[in-house]
Amino acid sequence: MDIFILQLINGLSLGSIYALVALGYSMVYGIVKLINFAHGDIIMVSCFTMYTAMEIAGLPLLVSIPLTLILTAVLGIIIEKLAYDRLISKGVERISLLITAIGVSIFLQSTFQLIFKADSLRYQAFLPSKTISLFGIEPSLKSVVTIIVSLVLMLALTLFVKLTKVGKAMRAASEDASAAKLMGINTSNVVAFTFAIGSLLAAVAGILYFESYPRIEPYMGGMLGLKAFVAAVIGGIGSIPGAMAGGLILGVAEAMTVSIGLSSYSDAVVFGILIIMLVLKPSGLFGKNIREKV
Amino acid sequence: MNESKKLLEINELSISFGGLNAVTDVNFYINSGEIFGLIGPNGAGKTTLFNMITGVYLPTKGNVTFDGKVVSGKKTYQINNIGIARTFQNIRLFREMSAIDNVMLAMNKETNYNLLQCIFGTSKYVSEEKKIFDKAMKLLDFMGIAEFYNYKAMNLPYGQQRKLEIARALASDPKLLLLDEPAAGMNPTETAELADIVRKIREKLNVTILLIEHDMSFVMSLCERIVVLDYGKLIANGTPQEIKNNPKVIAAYLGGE
Repeated sequence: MDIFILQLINGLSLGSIYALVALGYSMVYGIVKLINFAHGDIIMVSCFTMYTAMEIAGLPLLVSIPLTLILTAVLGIIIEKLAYDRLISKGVERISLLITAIGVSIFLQSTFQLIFKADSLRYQAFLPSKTISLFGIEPSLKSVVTIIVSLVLMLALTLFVKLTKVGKAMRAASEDASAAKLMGINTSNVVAFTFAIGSLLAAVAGILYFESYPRIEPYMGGMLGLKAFVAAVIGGIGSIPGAMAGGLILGVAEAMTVSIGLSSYSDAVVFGILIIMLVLKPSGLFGKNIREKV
Repeated sequence: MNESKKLLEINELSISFGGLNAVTDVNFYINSGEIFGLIGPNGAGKTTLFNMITGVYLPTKGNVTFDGKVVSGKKTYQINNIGIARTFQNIRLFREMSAIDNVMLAMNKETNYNLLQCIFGTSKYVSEEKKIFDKAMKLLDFMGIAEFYNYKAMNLPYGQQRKLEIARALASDPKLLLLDEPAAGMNPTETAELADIVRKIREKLNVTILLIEHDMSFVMSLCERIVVLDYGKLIANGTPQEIKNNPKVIAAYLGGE
C-alpha cells in the first residue's frame, strides 16, 4: 500500500508538470484555435536559460529563477507578435497557423543547437535528492515540491481567469473573439497575454522537470511537449480544468505503468489512453461538442 | 443637445466580395438624438453595412465618419471605444458567463487597476470592481432584468437574452447604438415593450439609435427617419410616411417591374 501511495505521488508530480504545459496548449487553442507546436520548445528554451544563468553566468538561484520566468514569458510574446499576430488578424486558415507553429519549433531547436551544440548538457539540480517523511511514507522532496508549486499555480490561474478583467477578457475571447472585439476588447493584446502566461507556466514546468531529469539538449521539448498536448486533448482542448485533469491522469498512468515493471511501455500507455479517449469521447473529458459557426 | 448635429455620416460606402457588389455607393447621415431605421429585403446588405460601420469589414470604397472623424480603417475595438456599440442579429452573448459578467466585460477599459493590486486584493481593486459592478447592475435594472444578474447568459429566456445584449452594448457608454433586428422572434407584446425600451434609451441615456428591423409596424411607429436598401443600393430616404408611399419601396418589397 505504501508503495502504491508513493507511486501515486510520483505520478501526480509528473502529471502536474504535464498539466502546467498542457495549460499553455489549451488556453492558446481556446482563443485562437492554434495548436502551438512550438510550446514544447519553450520548455527547452527555459531550461537553457536556467542553465546559462546558473552554470555559465554563475548567478544565484533566487536571481536565475525569476530571470528565466521573465525571459520565457517575453519570448512567448515575441513569438506571438512576430510569427502569429498578423496571421491571426488576417483570419487565415488554421492549417497555415499550424505550419507556422511547426516552423517556429524547428527554428528554436536549430538556433539552440547552433549555440549549445547537440550534445546534452548536465544541469545541476538545486533541490537536494532526499526524501521527506510524510504520514509514514517517504516521498522525494522534489516530487512534493513539484506538486505543491503546480497546485498553487493552477489555483492562481483559476482565480485569475475568474476574477480579473484580463482573465474575463480571455474567457470572452475564447467564447467569441469577434464579439469580444465589438465590445471594445483588444483581443490582440489578450492573445499576447495568453502566450505570456502559457510560456511562464511552461518555464516553471521545465525548471521542475529538469530537477528530476537533469539532462538538457535542444530537442528535449519534443516528447514532453507532445505528452502535454495529449493531456490537453484528453482533458478537452480549450478547457482549463480539462488540461489540469488530463495532465494528472497521464502522469499517474505513466508512473503506475513504470511501477509494475513495464517502463518500456509507458509511452504506449500514454498514447493508448489518447486513442481510447478519441474513440469514446473525441471532445475530451471537459470538452464541449463543437458547433461549427456559420 | 443640438438636434441637427450630424453624428454618423455614410459617404459613398461600397464593398464587394469577389465579384459581388454587396453595398454600392450608399450615402446618408444620422443626426444626434435620432431613432433611425434601416430596412430592406433579405440580402439587401443591411448587416454588411453594420459590419462596415463597426470595422468588421473594410469598405472597398467610401468611408464612415462619426462625430466628424473618419472611422473606417480603425480597429473594431477602437471603434467601440470611441462610442459605437451594437447587438447582433443572431444573439452572441458570452454564453458561459453570468449576465452581470457579460455587461462588466464591456466596461473593461474603465477599470483602472494593475495586476499586483488584483493579486493582493487591494482596496483599489475592490473599489474599481465594485464601481463597474454597480454600474452594470444599474444597466440590468434599466433593461428590467436585474433579478437575473447571476444567471449564466445561456440559461436566460430568449427575450431576456435580447435585453441582456442591449445592456452589454450600452455598457461601453456609446453615443450610437446599432440594433440588428432587435424584435426578431418576439411576439407583439414583447415588441411593444421593446419599442418603449428603445425610446427610453434615447431619452434617458442620450443615445442615438440606428436599427435594422423587418417588423414594419415596429419600424414605422418608432423611427423618425428611415433608409431603404435593395440589392446593396439605397433606394429611399425619408420619414415613415414618405417611405410607405414610395413606389420604389413598394416594388422592392412586393416585387414589381
